[in-house]
Amino acid sequence: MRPSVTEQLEGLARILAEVIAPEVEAPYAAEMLGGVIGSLDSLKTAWATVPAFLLWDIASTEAVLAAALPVLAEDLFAEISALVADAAGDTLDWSALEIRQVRLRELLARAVPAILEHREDSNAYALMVELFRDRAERFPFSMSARPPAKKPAPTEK
Amino acid sequence: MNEDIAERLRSWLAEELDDPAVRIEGMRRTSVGYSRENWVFDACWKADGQDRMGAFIARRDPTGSVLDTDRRVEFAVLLALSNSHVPVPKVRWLDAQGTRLGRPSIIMDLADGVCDYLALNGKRPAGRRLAIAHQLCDRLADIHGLDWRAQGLGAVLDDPGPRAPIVALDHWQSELRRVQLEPEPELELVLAWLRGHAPANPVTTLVHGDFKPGNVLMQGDDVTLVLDWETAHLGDPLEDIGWVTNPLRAGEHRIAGLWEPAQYIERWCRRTGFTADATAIHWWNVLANLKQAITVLTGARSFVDGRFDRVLHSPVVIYRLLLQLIES
Repeated sequence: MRPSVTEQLEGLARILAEVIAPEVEAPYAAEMLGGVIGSLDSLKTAWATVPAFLLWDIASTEAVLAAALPVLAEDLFAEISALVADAAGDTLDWSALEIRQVRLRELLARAVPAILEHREDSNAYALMVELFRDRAERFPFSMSARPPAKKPAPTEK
Repeated sequence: MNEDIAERLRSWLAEELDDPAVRIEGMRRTSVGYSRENWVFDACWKADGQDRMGAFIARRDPTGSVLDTDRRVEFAVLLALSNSHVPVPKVRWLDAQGTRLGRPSIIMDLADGVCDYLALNGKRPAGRRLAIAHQLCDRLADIHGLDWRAQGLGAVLDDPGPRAPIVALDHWQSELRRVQLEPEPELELVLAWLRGHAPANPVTTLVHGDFKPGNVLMQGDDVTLVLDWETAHLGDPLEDIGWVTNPLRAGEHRIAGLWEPAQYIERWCRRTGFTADATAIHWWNVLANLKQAITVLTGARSFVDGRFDRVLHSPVVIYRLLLQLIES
């Protein structure tokens, strides 16, 4: 499948940088264009790692929630048990992975007060903090993409 | 776009300056600041038979940004401070309803000077940078030392009293609820920690809310004006101290080995006469990073809604720091 997704993103960033950017004179538009090019560069590097990240995030969040079950109220316990029992479907379906990840993180957000309250008598708190730390390390995107450093102007042959 | 704004500005100024022939020259949009749309321009008009010229800056609410604030409050605060010892830009006109430029806007005099967000860590020798750091600290202390009641700010801003930390926390929690695109369990943990450790506020002062080298104007090595008052409010002065000692922004606020949080706090206490409780400052450090994270999430929301021109992702780097802070 050529050009690949990575090659397409790389090519689009190149066109914007080499064809469009030199023609853009307005300072605001030029700065925003630099941001767009930086974001495309970031996507080029990160997009292929997203499914693996989602799978890891889902498995890790499920582990924290499983550890937290004993300290949770009945309704939250039931919701988490039902979702975890309903195994993830096609792991190549990004949309399905994103939906499951969001659902699990929503349940974790609701579980936080109980996990915090029982930090001394359950290992759920330690697991949750470890998850948050690992997640920050593994997250595929940086907070804000930087425009690439400007290349020297091409010289005429 | 610029032509449309220029004509709208011209029409607004023609009315304010009472000269239908007023001209706008050299107008350009600046990208300084993530939260407002700024245009700088010169205006030429006649008054009392004399040719006049002035340099101005128009600040308009964007359709989307990293921060949602109220131009009326910003204008009223700047007006109230105009006769105080806190140096602020001169505000000229307010369009609170957005009838002039399409969205709420303020026009101010464009003052000479530069914004240098890395003034404390740029190319100047260390001694000069330290002198700038002292000025910044003194300007912040002056803001906190202001008699806000005498300046009429009590009519503009609510006094949260001893509950200032909880009021600030409630505000940012509601902002999070308003903008979040997805669940953020990391921030739920931080919110719960903050609520469980909130200090009481011993004194109410004016709080700038975003004090930093990039929000002052400098001429040479002199700090001449304090800018960007859109987040100003009444509250605990330690909120600003927690902001300027935030480890996330150390590159802007510190000079390694010379100007660390201890030096900042010591000088600030001496100038204001206030005491600074270390536990309370730590709490405000955590809140500062919560604010930073929610600001990024606001930008992400605005981008997804098609109202902001930069892509922002989950601020996991801030989450990591927040975890360190609440675990320490």
